[in-house]
Amino acid sequence: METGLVRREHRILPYFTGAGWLWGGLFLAGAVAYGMSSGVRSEVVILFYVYALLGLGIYLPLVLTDQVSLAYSAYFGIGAYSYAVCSAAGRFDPVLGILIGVVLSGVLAAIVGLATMRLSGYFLAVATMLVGLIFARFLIQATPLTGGPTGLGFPKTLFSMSVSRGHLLIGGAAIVWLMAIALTNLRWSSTGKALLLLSRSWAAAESIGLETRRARIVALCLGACVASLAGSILALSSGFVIPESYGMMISFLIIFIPLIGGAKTPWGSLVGAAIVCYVLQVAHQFGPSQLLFGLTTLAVVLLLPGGLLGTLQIAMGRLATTFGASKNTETRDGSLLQVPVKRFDPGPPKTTGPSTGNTILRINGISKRFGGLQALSQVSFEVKEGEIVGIVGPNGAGKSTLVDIITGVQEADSGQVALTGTQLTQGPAFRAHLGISRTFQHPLLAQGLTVLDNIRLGYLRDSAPRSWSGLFIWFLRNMVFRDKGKPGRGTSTKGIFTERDSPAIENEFNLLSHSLNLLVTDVSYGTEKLTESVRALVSSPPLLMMDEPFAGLDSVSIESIWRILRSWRSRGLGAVIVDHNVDVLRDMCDRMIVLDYGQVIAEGRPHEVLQNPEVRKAYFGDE
Amino acid sequence: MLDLIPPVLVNGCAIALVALGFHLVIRSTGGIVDFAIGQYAIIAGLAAALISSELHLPTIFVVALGCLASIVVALLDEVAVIRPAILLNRDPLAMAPVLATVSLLMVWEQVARLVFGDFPLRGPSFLPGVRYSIGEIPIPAHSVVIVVTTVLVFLAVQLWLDRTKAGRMLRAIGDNRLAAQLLGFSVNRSRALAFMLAGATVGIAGGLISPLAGFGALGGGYYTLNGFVALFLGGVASPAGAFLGGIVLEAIKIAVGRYLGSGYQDYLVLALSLLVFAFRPQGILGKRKTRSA
Repeated sequence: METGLVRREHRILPYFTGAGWLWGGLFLAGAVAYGMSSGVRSEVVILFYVYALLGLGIYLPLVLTDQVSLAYSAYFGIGAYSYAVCSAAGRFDPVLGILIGVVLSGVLAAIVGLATMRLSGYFLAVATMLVGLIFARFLIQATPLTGGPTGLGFPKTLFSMSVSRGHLLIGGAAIVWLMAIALTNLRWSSTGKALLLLSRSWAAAESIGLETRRARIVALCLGACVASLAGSILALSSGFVIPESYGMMISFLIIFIPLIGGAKTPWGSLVGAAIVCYVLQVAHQFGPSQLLFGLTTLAVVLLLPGGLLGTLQIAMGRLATTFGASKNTETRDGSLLQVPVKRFDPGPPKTTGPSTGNTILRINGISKRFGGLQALSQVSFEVKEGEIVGIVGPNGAGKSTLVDIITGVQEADSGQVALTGTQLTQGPAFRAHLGISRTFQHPLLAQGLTVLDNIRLGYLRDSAPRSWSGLFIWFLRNMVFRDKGKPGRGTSTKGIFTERDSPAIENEFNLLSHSLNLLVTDVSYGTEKLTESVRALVSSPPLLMMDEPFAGLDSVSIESIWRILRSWRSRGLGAVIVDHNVDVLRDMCDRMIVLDYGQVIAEGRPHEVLQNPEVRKAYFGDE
Repeated sequence: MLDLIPPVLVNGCAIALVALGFHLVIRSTGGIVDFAIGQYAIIAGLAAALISSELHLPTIFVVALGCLASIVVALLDEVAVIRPAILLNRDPLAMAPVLATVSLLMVWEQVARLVFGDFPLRGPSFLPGVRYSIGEIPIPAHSVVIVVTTVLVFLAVQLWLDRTKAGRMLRAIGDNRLAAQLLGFSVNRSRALAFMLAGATVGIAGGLISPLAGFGALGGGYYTLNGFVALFLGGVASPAGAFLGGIVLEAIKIAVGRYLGSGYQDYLVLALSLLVFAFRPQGILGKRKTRSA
């Protein structure tokens, strides 16, 4: 297995980048001290808080789920105006206004998200830009409510108390600090890691049980709520709101706050906000601030894709390497090497003949058409408990389409898929939860995470929440506690073994043990495939679908995947393997199905099927 | 009721030309939305207005020169920003090219403000003072020019896409950049060509509509949004969808403005686009597509 590649990690960096709460806290303390010194400065500092919160707000959808939302001017404005209107009316405590703003912007974000959720991120960008433009117009038109173009003044009170500059400086710093800590927690929790997989592939995230559309909308909603809070703070500090402050321009500005600072960590938003404040202040003296800002953002997008923090981190890494302060991950994480390597136990010998267990999967009359091409026609078969079924067929025979239909990634034109007797009509995440696990033709792993982290994602298959409320709670809980008490927290492998009590997994972990703490981008293709297979199996699914698991692998890697499959089969796993490698499948499968032009042309025990003249003609070109 | 037809056609044609530019960009980049595209119309219109006030040239040259300005801007966008952003396209900025176009919209709006000033300008119109009429409805000659030009531009682009090698290549590149590259197509040149064409069609729209609308420097976002909504209303897959979408969108907007009041137009565009995105993302003319991994 993988032993040659060892990630070089720097000793200094973890202390620098891992302690964002400390650095960010010091930075904010400095800001408070600066703001206390004069009235003008306090305004700048409060504006910095506002931008920082906006940056943190957009961090959720933009960085965690790759969604460009240009409606942040609206969410920001809703927060400001709900506080303003409530405070001006004076009938309720304005705290109610802040809450109303948070709820309203969350609901608006959800509506736009729901309307565009079937489409790519660009539609969201356009739809949200429309929302932003229309909101700006609404502020001017709805004069009785908003005071129209001349704005609205109101008392700066909270809980019937006048809010002073000092209150705002300290309270604002606390809110920004806590919010950044919460988002850092979220980013490195199981939620954030699952979202990393989502940004790699929609289908892969669904295969580990994440309801991707809902998760995206939850991220949009929560981000809008934070932006609304920022609006309320701005209104609270100025005692005056005017539509100009909530135009399209601010949306463009907000998008770039996390990117300028560095998108890798939420703390980048603080740096970005400080830079934006500075650029806008400086530019007022020299010319049009927006031109300068536009050019700055272009430069960041094109020249500093990691933002300021990312660039700094790379520079520090170079420095550390130059001064020889780096060392190997493996020697640092000694515990990993102390895992006793057990001898591999292949499990009970292969049963001869077809299995007699219960039927897990029943496919009945599946047909699928793409334009003029009949990809599948009337495909039916069954998979029993503890049975491995191989599906072979030439390119274009409809094998991958079949896997997609069974897992719910594509819809069949007709026919049924039933899992242990239950008809499946739901999407892929729900099917994953019910017990259909899968791997992909090209392994789809979350980039930027280690092999171990990727494997842990597999546990979400049956434990990730799927309801709207469940997802909200999952996000919020991981902001505060970051997977407290969940298996696999931290870097040790212990949690995984004890939680599920499946000693058999240990064998597979031993196979991978040298690579567990390497980034998936640093390991070989064989290890990636192995990682994906283990990810699909850690939660002990009743059924595994594998799309070309052996393509591009050497015989050693093929064997290790095969041994894993066998050890799970002995515990009742049913598997469907789609592959070209007839030789491997012949030796491994209990049953083989041959597809050609979307039709089943033969089915039975592998050796018999491969003798079938029709199969030989279709597959080997025999006459 | 019938008197609504000329404004619908005129405004619809302008939006349709912007949508056509969008279509070309989306086709050549495999789906990148260029937020700066509306600003090409503004720049062409403002340039035409400025040129006609400084030099006494025939209107057709003025519009052509304005169009040239927008072509240069579009080409600059592609070469200096979109191309590097696509090549960079790496974590954590998977959306880098689209975000870059948002920056471009900001930059070009401010550049336009510096060059053309803060006050709205009107370009020259064709055959000023000449009016035809059908029944009771007066039709300025300029409106006829707009509609005829638009139809000719659409026919030319459709022919170019169908009949020329460069046009057919655009499609292949949009579908799969890597494969097209491996087949030896010059992806970059083709994309640059598409941006120039988009600059031209959007620029024509700007040059033709500016005598009627009067452009301020900061109006690009309006045309970007309306062009996008029109394209997806009609169907993103073909120029015909862009044309149909432009006309239908303007028809709805103008009818609402007439019967409910102009304050409601924008809310309606938002509601309409959300409905289209949610229930018929393939547009009026499009066919349904399945989502891929």
